[in-house]
Amino acid sequence: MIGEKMLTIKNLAATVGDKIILHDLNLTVKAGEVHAIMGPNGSGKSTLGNVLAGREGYTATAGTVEFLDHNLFALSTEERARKGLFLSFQYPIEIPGVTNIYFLRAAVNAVRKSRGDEPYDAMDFIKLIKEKAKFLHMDEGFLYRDVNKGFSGGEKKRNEILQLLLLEPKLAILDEIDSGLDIDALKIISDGINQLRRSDRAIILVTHYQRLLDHVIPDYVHVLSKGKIVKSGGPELAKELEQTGYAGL
Amino acid sequence: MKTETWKYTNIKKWLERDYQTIDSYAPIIDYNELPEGVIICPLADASKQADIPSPYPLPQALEGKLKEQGFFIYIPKNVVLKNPIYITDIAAQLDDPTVLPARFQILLEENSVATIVHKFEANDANHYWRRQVTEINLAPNAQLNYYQDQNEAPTSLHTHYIAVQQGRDSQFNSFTLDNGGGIVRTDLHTKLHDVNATCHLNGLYLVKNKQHVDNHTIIEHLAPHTQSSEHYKGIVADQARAVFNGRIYVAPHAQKVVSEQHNENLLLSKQAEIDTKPELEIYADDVQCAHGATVGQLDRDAIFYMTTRGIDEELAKQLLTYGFAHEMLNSISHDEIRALFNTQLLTWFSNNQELEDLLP
Ligand SMILES: Nc1ncnc2c1ncn2[C@@H]1O[C@H](COP(=O)(O)OP(=O)(O)OP(=O)(O)O)[C@@H](O)[C@H]1O
Ligand SMILES: [Mg+2]
Repeated sequence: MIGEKMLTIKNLAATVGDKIILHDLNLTVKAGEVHAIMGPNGSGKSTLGNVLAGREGYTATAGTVEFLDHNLFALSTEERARKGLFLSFQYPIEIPGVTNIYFLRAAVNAVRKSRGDEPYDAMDFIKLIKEKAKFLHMDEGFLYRDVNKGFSGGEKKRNEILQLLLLEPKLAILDEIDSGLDIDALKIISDGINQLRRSDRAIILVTHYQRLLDHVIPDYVHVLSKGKIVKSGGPELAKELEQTGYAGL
Repeated sequence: MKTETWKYTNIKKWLERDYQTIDSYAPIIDYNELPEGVIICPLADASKQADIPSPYPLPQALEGKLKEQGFFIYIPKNVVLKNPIYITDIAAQLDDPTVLPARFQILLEENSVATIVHKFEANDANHYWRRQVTEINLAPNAQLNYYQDQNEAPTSLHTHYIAVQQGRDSQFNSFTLDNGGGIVRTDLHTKLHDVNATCHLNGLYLVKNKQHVDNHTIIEHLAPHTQSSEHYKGIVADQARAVFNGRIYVAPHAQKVVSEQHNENLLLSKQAEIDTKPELEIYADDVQCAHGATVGQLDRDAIFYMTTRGIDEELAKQLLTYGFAHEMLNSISHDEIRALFNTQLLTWFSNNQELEDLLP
């Protein structure tokens, strides 16, 4: 419920290869909140997402991360996902040979199974997914193509949101979900995100643009620069940044 | 035994054995509604064509003693078979070691069309050597779809020499699925003798444990305007080894030949090994020949992506591996055969319950 702890990052440092990318990073996110993280290119926003999701090659070297009641780093990537962590990729991965709808059903059923819910059979799943695809104005054809393969940038982002809607995570980290979207798509995707805003769920939006934040109004805005959070504020901070840029920080 | 073509496949210990033989050879041959004039009979009853000798070495003890048995399949002029002919060869209840020499002769007359599925299986048989020879003759404008489903015992030796002669406008489409066997060596040799003869050779080898699977193909373009395409994919796991050797020969006068060869491999372990080699011998100058071979591993980014969605790492790997192999099955136009091969593909995975539940 509102105010319950969702994610607590304390003094996090992380390396990619042997390069230190994040350091002294602190961030607390509570249930019911929407946080936006902004910041210059290369400041470490995607690295943070990758560290939280447990990507190979991204190593936390100091600090702690608590997710719900768990020590995040004690969990495998799939366990994190099953406990409700979702990362939407800045550059979603193409998976040749794996049909989207089987991938999606495998994901949804893996998460359901870990919660003790019955897995969906093929028929029920098709019904569910068609409804979600329709909500996102996604052609059903995308369900039967290989995962993200040959999808345009915007189509990939829609496929990410489709997964978000299906998996109903507790904490969603959406890395530049708005990049490369046209106005209509931005509206559709924002509606999808807003639909998920709930008192027992939290969302972190990584973005460069105010226009997403006009649709999905955040509770907090943070600026990540050179691997740490250097400024935090309310929605007005994003508007301010749009005027002044990051130069003054 | 030319040593170069046997560089990677060693059957020496099989040549030193003292073999049992069997008296009767009775594969199960299944078909539906055979049109009039089609002949399927033991070779002994057929007026035989010229035999080609098996190119495989023979154990000395068997010299002069090996009695080949086999079948003759004849499709008359203008006959189009609607349903496939299924040949199921089961190595059953054999004493160790046994040699199983068998020969098929397949003749398609002008304008005829047939589909043949040859299945090799084992039941309570261990150390046996299946020595198969298949001779195929395609008259002008005949079309044969030839499928092999090799599922031999993991302790066996399987050698199969397939020699194809193709007349004008004929088409030979083959699909070789290797899903079993201990040591497996298939030589598929097709000769495109006259204009517009076409062959499409496809294959999928699924190799694990200590299996060794060797596919040697030779396509000879002996006339102008002949076409060939070849696509083999392989998955090699554990300490298994696979060999792909694709030779393409274009005769000096065989202008306007179009030929394409692809071999793609997925290595699933550090100890697994693949030796892939195209051999292009092109003596005509106005030809289009393309070839490519790849050896890769599972994509770590794709595995990561799937696990961020809650999918088990093992299932993620299976999905990728299955996807890689399954793409090959799309070239099979016959639904029933594609389903059969898909089932075979699924059985290759140990612990495949989740994968099976997921797929249609
Ligand atoms: N896999 C990697 N290999 C090498 N360097 C990396 C890798 N991932 C990130 N980096 C480096 O880490 C730094 C931070 O990159 P990151 O992708 O986190 O930035 P970002 O804030 O998301 O930038 P953008 O706004 O452009 O998406 C950059 O200098 C980048 O080059
Ligand atoms: Mg980024």
